[in-house]
Amino acid sequence: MSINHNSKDDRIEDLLSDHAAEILNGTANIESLLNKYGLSKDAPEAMLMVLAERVFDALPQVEPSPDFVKALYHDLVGSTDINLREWLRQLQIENLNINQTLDRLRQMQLVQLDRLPNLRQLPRRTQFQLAAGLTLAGVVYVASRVRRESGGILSSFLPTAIGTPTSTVEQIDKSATA
Amino acid sequence: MSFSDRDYTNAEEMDLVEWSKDDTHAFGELYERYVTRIYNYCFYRTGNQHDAEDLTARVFMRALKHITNYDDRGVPFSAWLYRIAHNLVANWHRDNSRRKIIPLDDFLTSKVEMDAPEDVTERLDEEQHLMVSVNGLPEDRQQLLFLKFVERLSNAEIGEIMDRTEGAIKSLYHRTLSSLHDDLISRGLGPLKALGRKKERQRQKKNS
Repeated sequence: MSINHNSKDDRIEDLLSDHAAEILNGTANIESLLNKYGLSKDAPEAMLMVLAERVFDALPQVEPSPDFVKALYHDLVGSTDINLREWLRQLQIENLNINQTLDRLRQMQLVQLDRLPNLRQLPRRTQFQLAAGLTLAGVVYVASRVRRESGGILSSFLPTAIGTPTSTVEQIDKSATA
Repeated sequence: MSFSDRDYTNAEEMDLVEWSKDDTHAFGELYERYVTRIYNYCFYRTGNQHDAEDLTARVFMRALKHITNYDDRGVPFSAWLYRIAHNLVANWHRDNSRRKIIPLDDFLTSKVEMDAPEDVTERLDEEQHLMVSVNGLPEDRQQLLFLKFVERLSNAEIGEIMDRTEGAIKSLYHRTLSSLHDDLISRGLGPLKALGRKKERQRQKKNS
């Protein structure tokens, strides 16, 4: 077939485009289309049209596995939504539009947890640093609690053990009054 | 508009893209709208489920990472997403050096389950020859056939994805069918013969 472009090529291109549109609409009729373009049914273009129909038949749409779709959604967005979806599905409520229900839940700000950053996407080094930082913060927090609590225990013993000038004066006053 | 006012399910695509820059739920909605299409693209360009899943995941991870850089300058979001997929698939072919060795078993076997057993072998044979020819085409022609027949996009939409004019897409489609036809003839396989057998089978099924 010629590669140089001329009006005949344009017509063939239009014919093949129209035919492809008909294939997609499920209304392909090679003979009538050839007739419309003034070509006989033995025209070489007829073979290209047949071939196009064969290619279309050989390329059906495929569905990804639901598990894969769910897992990838989880990785991208977070787990809350997907768990809610599953939960709503299990309720098996008649005429329940799951997407709309999820939207309403979001509007009520009940679904906020998945706005936390996805830690799994962070580099391994950052994950370790974060873990170390959190551990250190935990140790500091526990230590400060222990110190405060032990400080509190000591202070409750202090007046009895050592006494204070005020408490001693008060005791003398009390005994004098008595 | 605050997060809580957003109606993701009924939102326009451009709104979702804007929201996605700081709202993962909006990106989740875009993901749900496009995951099957991108998966199909990866599946037909690699020929197997495992690599298709891996590449689909990488497409969306990359899209999520770079969505803040996306700027609509006449290129629809779908075209942007397909371009990411196209680049990743091209890298996959280059890294694995297996462009010509594509296992077709996954989709060939999944398609013939509904057919009568006597038709299965013949049909597998025909389609395998056809798919070998399709996979032997240059990348842009394979992409065109996929976008036209699997994605059912118009020439104008395909042009946006492939960064070409509508006229150029029409012309490329013509050249693609011609070279596919020449390849089949050179291997002794005429498409008319194959279609004749298919129609004969359909007639037999109707009569029985």
